[in-house]
Amino acid sequence: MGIPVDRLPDETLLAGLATGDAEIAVAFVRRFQRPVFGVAVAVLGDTRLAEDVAQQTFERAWRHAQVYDSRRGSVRTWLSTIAHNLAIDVARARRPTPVDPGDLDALLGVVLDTPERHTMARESAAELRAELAQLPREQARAVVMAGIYGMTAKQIAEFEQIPLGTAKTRIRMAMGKLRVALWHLQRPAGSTPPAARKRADHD
Amino acid sequence: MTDLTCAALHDMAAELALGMLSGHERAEALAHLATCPDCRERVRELAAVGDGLLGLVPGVEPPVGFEDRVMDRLGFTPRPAQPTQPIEQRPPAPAGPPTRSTGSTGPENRRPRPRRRTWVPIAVAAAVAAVVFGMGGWALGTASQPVTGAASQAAGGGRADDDQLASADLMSGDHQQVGEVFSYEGNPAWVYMVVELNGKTQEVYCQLEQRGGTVVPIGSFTLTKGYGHWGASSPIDPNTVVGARIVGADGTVLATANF
Repeated sequence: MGIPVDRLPDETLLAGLATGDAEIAVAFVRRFQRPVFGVAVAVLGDTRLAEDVAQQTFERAWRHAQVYDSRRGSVRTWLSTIAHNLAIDVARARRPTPVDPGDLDALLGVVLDTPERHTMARESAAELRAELAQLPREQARAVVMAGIYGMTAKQIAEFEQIPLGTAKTRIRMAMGKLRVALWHLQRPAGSTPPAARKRADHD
Repeated sequence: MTDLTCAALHDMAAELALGMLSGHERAEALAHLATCPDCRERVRELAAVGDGLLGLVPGVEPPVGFEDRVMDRLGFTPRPAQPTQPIEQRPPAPAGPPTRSTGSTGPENRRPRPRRRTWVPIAVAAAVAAVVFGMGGWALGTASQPVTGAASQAAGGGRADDDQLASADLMSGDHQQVGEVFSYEGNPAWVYMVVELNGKTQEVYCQLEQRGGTVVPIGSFTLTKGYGHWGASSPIDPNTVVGARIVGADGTVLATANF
């Protein structure tokens, strides 16, 4: 007959959600529940809140499957972003301090983990992880606080007990380095790298 | 038009990409991006970094029953009929389950606190019928008559259909019946239970005992004033299950059942 539902490509599975086919919906949830819940629980540190966020994420994906654009990222990325935004909203509404110091260190330990432990990871993820591990520790902390925990520069400055300008600089420098690293991975050889473009174009 | 220069945009591009800017700053930045494709590209690249960061967050297995709760939320299983009459008077095969695997404390799943001796068989049968109907609705693809029959048998107490559904009394340490456990032996296999213990509100853990003495934890749920109902998919071969245990947070075995 056809391809088993659990072997359908991610995009096809997402498109199939709109049909209201329960079998497809189950396969979709089953395939993405770990990354979605992982993001939610990383941000919130609370299983029950994270479950609600993860449920909302799938509900939104189901309602808005037609707006997904594969050119802007994978289905997993799209779902992770939805989960992340929802979790940040919940975290900001509930907690004056967005992150527990112990949780931050634990998450840093995971995201900076050596690529050898993640042989199944996509190449870009491995590259990004490696690049993140190369950053000065304070920059890596800043970018994780901003990019994963959704902390503002002001919150990071207070958390790290540093001036606001220093927090912004750490974020900017870290993100700039990671951007260049990702760019080298995704662009064909011979293209003008971001740093060169910055000088050449409209600065 | 905007006064923001490209250099100024570059300074805030990372924060814009990560959603960290205030409303005013964001509006300024977006106004600049509307007229500057190069800066737009820069922000797009930085946003890709942000997406990539999320990809580094390790996946985590959600709590048992998550998949089914999502399916309920999406409307793929019947929602529970809100009780408008006492549960004792409701027919044993209701329109739908509370949810097949949600803890007992969710408002839409909470039932009126029952009087145990008169309600347990009916409520359990209703719940089991609901569970089985629910699975038939989307997971199994069918809702067969033998399953209905099993639920009806459960309504009368005792053992249900041997091929599909086994039931056992949950007994406390002092040999009082404190609930009932059902083990559905289809595919997927499910366990469902109703518990009324000692009036305390507490987190309890359900474990299944396999032939040979292996004990497998399958999840936890909350008893509210001693009462709760909960179900979950079973991670082990239901044919090997010989019993179930309800354990308190301190490891104390609160109740046991033998199939």
